[in-house]
Amino acid sequence: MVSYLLTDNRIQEARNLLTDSGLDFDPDFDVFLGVYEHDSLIATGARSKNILKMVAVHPDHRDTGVFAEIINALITDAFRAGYEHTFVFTKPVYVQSFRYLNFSPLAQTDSVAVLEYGHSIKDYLKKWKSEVRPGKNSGLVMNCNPFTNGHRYLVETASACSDNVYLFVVEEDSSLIPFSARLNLVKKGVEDLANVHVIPTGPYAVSRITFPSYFLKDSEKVTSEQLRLDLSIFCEQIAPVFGITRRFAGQEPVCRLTAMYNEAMREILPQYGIEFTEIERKTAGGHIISASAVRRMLLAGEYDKLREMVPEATYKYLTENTGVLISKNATPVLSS
Amino acid sequence: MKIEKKAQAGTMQSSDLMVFTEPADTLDIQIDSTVAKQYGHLIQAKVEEVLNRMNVTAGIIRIKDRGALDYAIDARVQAAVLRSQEA
Repeated sequence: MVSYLLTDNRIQEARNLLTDSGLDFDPDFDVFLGVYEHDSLIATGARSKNILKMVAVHPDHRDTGVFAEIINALITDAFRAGYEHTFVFTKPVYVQSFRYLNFSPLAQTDSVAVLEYGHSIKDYLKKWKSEVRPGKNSGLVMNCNPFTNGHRYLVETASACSDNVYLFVVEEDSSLIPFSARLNLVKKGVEDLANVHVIPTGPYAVSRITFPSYFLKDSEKVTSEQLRLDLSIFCEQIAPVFGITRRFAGQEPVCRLTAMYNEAMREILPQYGIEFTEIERKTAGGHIISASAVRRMLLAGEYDKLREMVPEATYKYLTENTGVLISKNATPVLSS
Repeated sequence: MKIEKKAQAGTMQSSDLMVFTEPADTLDIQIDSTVAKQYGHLIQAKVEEVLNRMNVTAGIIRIKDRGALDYAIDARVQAAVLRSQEA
């Protein structure tokens, strides 16, 4: 029978089972479940929002239905909590076990594999396939928090030297400007560029799944592992469908995390035959234009400086929503 | 009848199936099965039969099957559809 592990003692038992299975305990979870037999814990698993983690089965029970039982309990619990699209991070050696339970593999490196359940990246790609145009196509992945003249310059440059540009806007809603507003400002900001197609990333680029460090700071080792996962999804699944042979990004002189992302792209993209082009950053009034500078100016009320850095639509949005954005910024959960 | 809300029935155990429903304008059946190669067409036929019998005309029916027999498919689809109607 599956039970919720609610006491420190119960969770300690689960930690022991994890340690015995060579897995690390992660304090970030919403529910922790366990399967007991004769009062001893034989399987455990946890969930944080739509991510399953810390799944371990006692070695004596590996060839029974208990693995399906614990995963089933986690998926059912996730569904009740409103998540019908779930992900699991596991070791590559367990990929097949999850496949037997109808999970589909999303990405894999030497040390970690991600699988999804309920929906799959195939559904996502099918949905956007009608946007695909033949030619020498380029891709960009941007958060645009918010869309600035710097983003505009980068997209214009890509547009001028590509048949089509696929501009993926990060869909993860963990930034100051909500996703729907960011998407809308990007669309308005590039509407005169006929070969630019704006597409939401879904959970498949720079998301809590592919690149959680972007939202919650992690060690460089963890970050570098995530970058590999994120880029393998782009290179193996997204780029082939959209015919993308070149990816553009802005140079990153300030943010270490984004600089690491660029370094990883320079190394990894060519392995898949995708060219990586880094564009020098546009400046305004002697300063590099960046979304973080724009957010700082907004919060400091420096509207004159801000106006030089963003298109009209972004300026209008920011000035009309200043109150909401400032109060949202005051809550500590938000980053990037 | 239309699928009114998200609902779920079944388990991930071997020889069972998990059924998810979701509201939609048209009827869309998505089947993912570990035995799709051999029995995919029979699972599809069974699901359509149950939906026909219950007059389901619109909604997404997402099936994750692990080799369930047809009476299990019948029961799980029916349960999920009924749950999708509860207030």
